[in-house]
Amino acid sequence: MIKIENLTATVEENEILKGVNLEIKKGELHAIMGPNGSGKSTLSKVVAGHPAYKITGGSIKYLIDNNYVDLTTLEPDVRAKEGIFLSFQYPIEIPGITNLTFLLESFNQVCEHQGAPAMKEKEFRYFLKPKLEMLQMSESFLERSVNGGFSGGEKKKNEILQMSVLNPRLALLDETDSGLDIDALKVVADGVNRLKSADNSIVLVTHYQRLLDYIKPDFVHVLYKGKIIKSGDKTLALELEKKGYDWLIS
Amino acid sequence: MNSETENIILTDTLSLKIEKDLTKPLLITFTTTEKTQDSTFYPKIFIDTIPGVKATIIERYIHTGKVQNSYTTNTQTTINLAPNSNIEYIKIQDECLKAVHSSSFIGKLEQGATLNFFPISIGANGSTNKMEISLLGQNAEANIYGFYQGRNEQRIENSIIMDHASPNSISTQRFKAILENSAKGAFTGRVKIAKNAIGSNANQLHRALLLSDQASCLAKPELEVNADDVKCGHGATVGQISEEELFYLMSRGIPRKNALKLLFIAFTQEIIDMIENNVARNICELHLSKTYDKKIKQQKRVCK
Ligand SMILES: Nc1ncnc2c1ncn2[C@@H]1O[C@H](COP(=O)(O)OP(=O)(O)OP(=O)(O)O)[C@@H](O)[C@H]1O
Ligand SMILES: [Mg+2]
Repeated sequence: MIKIENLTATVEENEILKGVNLEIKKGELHAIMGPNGSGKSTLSKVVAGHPAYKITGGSIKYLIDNNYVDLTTLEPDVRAKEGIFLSFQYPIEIPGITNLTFLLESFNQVCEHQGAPAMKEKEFRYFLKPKLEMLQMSESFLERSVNGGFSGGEKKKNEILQMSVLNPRLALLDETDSGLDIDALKVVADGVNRLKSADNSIVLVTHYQRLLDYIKPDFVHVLYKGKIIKSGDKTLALELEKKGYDWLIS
Repeated sequence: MNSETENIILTDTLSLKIEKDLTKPLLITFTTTEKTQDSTFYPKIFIDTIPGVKATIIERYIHTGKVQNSYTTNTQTTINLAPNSNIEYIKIQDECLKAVHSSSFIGKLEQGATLNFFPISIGANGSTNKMEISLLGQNAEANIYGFYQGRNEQRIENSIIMDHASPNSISTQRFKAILENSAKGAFTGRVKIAKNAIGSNANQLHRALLLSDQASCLAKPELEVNADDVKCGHGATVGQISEEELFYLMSRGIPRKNALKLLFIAFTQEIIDMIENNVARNICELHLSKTYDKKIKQQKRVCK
């Protein structure tokens, strides 16, 4: 689905990614772990096309219509339309735009690009109903402004709601588990599991083995100082939980 | 014309008294055409109310000519609110971009009266709006929710004198501005609290969004407080379109153009949402919506 090779990237002149190599195939689920500040969110934002992050070397190739294309030339909205989704570590609040207006505009833009018919508000509300139920979110969240006054956990649920609306091919979930209570973690994990299929790929950025009890990764990577220094299967996460990162670094 | 409103064509001087609650908003329109080159107009409006009435009034300046031309409108509005009356007053200045618009708005509020005033400036090359509100009776309340925007060489100046002349009077001044190219905005909000106006509460907030380095905005609060036990607050911010908000919207498949439009609407919405009457709110939104697309073209691309 995506091939990242020797990727280097800077933000505000600081080199954060220092040669990342990562290939994710269709249907795979990868977990990325690593100490604070190692570049996990940077990697996700670079893939989603955040303008503050400059790519200085390497490449990102993404599968569109059975061809690998250079992702870096595409605007963020085009990447989203082509099925890339980033669940933000810190979803921002946008006062003045209701969640419903936002979701509907987003959904219809993506539909238009993919050749699917647009929906009107009424139909869209009907379409959202089971998704809200799945995430145990009340419909009142639609009437509030985007993430406006949402609790930390509610913001994360709102991200997964957006994911379920857009049905992406490649989802990057940046610490979606952080800030969720035990029940909410289950709800969100169930949601992600239901959205997972043989045709899409998921990258989970997490600090906790706990999430991986619910969502089983095929691969686990450790990102440290802008490089992937270790990859393994899910037993690596258990090992990290016990031993921390020190044994990998020294 | 719109049947959801009671319509009045303004030509010269209009005097009226509101003697019962109005179910439909009163829409007073002053129209200039392509024949108005080099003319100066002095439209005047006098409004009185009887105690306890409730009404929504829209005063609007529009240009229907296909060709832009320079002319001057010098408007004067005086409104006297009888005790406990409640008036929602919306002034839409959507003149042609070569015009000069200069307005004076005088409001006098008696005991328990409420005025919600929405000065909205969209058009005219130069626009000067003076507002003078006197809270003459106890518990009188005046809220000014203003919005103005400018592009190219447009100059917009709003100045307010909010006079708290009796106890427990309340006032709000909340303004938002979007300025681009070399447009310049100025805002002066003076609050006077008289010696006997104890227990009064006045607050003021001005927020400007600058879309270019050449655009500028100056907001100046002036407080003159002579009474004890009053609450006064003021603040002013100047900002740019948030790149993080823009990215968030784009990362969900919304193209830059549409995302900017949403953000402009979001910025102005806080003001427009305060309009209670639906019909009046729709009329405002209609005037504003045609300006968004023009602005979007001006925004420089940040993404590769
Ligand atoms: N906009 C920015 N300006 C300056 N430095 C930044 C910016 N964004 C990220 N960085 C720096 O880049 C480094 C990597 O940050 P990043 O957010 O990618 O880490 P992370 O691995 O996601 O950490 P965490 O586990 O704490 O979320 C940090 O040192 C951070 O301070
Ligand atoms: Mg992070």
